[in-house]
Amino acid sequence: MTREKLEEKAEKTLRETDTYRIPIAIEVLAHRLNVAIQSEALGDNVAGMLVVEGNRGAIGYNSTHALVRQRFTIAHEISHYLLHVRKNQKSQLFIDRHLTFRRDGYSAGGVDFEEVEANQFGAALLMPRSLVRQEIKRSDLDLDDEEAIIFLAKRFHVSTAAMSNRLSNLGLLR
Amino acid sequence: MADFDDLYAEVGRKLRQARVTQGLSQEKLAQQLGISRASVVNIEAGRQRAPLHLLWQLSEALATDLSLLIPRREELSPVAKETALQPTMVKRIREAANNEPDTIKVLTRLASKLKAAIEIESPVRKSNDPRKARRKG
Repeated sequence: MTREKLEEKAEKTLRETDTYRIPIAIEVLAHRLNVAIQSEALGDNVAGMLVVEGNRGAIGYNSTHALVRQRFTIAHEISHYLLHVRKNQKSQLFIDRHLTFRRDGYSAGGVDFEEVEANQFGAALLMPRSLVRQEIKRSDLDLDDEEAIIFLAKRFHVSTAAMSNRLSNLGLLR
Repeated sequence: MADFDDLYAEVGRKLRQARVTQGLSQEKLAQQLGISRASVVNIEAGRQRAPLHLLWQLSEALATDLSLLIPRREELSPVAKETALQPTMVKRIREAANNEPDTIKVLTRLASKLKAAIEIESPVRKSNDPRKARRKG
């Protein structure tokens, strides 16, 4: 899917589930997509997991990670659910070990196409393009000022690094 | 479940998480609902049992769904129900874990819990579906 398509689909998903407002209620979104959610202490090596059976899914995420990271993991797994589930397969399992933001949107592994796409789509769910732009305008933010990025990150309840990457991917940072 | 301490502790944990996500202080939330901050503190700690009408108001104030604040049974007794995994899942877990025993254990446990969560919420019609039964054998 092209970047543009991903942006549009993310926004459409949020609107259809009535979760298109900040901070995005990512657990509510999962719930309204019929995806169960469960948190558990998973040690250092595992961020999250998605199990799919038929047309239902369940997400598990690491409760020991920082809250903003948990939100990112849930968004990432929702992305797999919406984009990568193959209809003709009965059971599917997605496992995500280290999820990290990179400037180019690539995951730590970098090579797996689905992981890259889930990172992009996850970012678009937590930081919808139009809501980011709207917030910048509404609060009259100067993005050269680091405080502005910290402010935005707080508003969207994401990490500063995630927000910074997102702004850069949207071409809003110089 | 002899008493419901675990249930209310989990409700409190979910409330706290929803509140933090909304960036609301305990004070502010209490004000919105016309209750004391101590009540919010105690409800989040599971020491005070919030009645339904208060939970209902809380879910609105926290922009969440009431049903998300109510734990499912398997969240309270995590080991009570685990489901066997298909061979493809087992294989996938081994790959993802690079065959590290501890990681395999963590992933297997979580995967079977998630599978159980799905099955609890949508009882599957395995018994009257002959195709599936045959494929299994």
